[in-house]
Amino acid sequence: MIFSILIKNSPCNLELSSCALKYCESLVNQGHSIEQIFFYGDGVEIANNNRLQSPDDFNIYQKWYDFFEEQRLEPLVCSTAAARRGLFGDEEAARNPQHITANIFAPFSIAGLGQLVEACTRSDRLISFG
Amino acid sequence: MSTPKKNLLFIFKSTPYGGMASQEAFDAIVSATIFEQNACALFIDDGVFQLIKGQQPNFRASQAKQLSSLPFYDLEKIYACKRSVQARDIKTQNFCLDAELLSQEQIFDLIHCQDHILSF
Repeated sequence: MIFSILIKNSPCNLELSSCALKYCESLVNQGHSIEQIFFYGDGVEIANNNRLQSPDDFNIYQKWYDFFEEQRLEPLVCSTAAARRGLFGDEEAARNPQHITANIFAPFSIAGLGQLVEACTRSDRLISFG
Repeated sequence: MSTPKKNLLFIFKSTPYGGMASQEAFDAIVSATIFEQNACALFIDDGVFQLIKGQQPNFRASQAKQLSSLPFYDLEKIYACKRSVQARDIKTQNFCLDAELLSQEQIFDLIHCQDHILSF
């Protein structure tokens, strides 16, 4: 089956975020394919490159990044939701160099909601977290 | 878009100003209609508060005003959970748009015939 995943919870919700990650890993292990992982709402915080990891905290970011790399996935981040939370990609930062700096980098791509809708049309199941 | 149309149900279950969920639900359903999907909206739980007209929020655009634009996006299938509306003593005359009240059973049926559900 073809799945798409919509994540709306902040990665600070470690329990839910690792639950989502485990779900994605299980999908792959069971031979399903993941069409797209779309981060929306507070979920976009996962893409924030401008952060310091406390050694005491569970590094959920790294776990996700490892998963994206292993599976060669290009997760999408909603541009509007990201901008609302002070997160920008290269192109947007280049348009407003005085005001903002980029803090979203590969493997994340900035996307519009249209891409979420498109993912829905190409997937058998959409699973939401958050 | 050449891909087949899907039945998408957007569930609005949050209060209008308790966070960005109501705004983000609105943005998402508008995108779905722009991309010509069969979208419908269901207001349930505290989400029914979004439907009350005459909202005067201080820090954001009125959610009711935004929602009342949905028919202009050709979105006509708008539903509200009867039980949630009654439990909060909201009168349908105070709704900002025409929403059909559904019983629990009708909601089960509605959910059953969807391809995907997005809940906010």
